Amino acid sequence: MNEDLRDRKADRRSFLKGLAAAGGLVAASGASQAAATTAETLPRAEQAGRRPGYRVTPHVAKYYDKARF
Amino acid sequence: MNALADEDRGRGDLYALLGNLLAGPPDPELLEALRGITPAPDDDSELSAAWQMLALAASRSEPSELADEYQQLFIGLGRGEVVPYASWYLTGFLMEMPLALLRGDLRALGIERQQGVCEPEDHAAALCDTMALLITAEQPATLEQQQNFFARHMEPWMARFFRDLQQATSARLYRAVGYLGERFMDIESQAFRISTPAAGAVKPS
Repeated sequence: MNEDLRDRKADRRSFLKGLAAAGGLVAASGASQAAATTAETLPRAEQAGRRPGYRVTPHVAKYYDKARF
Repeated sequence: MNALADEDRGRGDLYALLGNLLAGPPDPELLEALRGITPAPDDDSELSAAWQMLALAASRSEPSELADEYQQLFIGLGRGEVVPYASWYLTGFLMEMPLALLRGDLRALGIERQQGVCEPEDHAAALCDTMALLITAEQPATLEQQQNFFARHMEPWMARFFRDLQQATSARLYRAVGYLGERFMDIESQAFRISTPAAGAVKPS
């Protein structure tokens, strides 16, 4: 890794320091985990029933197939 | 097991939270979690202010009211106050060229829509979820891939969308969501410019 790239990574980490703390806040509160639980663990049919009407399904995260990553 | 840097975990969590809130009104469990968010007292950043606003708005909200708020904001009679699609913001119409370009990029990234789902992928919630996925997947996308996706599909319109959300007359909790989202989009734009000097000059794939 060249020096310029290393410096830029350090600058980015420093800039995002507040975000790291904020992310911890969200995770600790469980606020972000709610989405992951909905998307990954509930059967599709159950999810589809959660928010009828506008959305065919409740959460757009489940649109995507994580397994292909 | 991929070890994410703290700042990237924070980004992924925040994208996931925004995706959740934009996909539908928060359920009682999530609302309670939002009420419990307590930023550090010595943090005087705009992001910290946004968290405080969100926690305060959540503490003043009831789940039944939030369902109505979400309905009026994003669904409405005919359409809601805010239309949360990239195509709408970029062309004035739904399901236009931005959606076609997005679908091509999602395919290239190995992300696909599940069967039986009709909602277009350029919904703001879908884009936030995609970024969360790119950041936190077991094999995360490179920073350049993340930056490319953000620059092509989110940066041109999502800050404007979050500003509109703050100004929507029906918005209560979602005013705070809009403020948080706008601050976060600004942070992401700046962070990508720091880490990738050529950011903003991304060529279409």
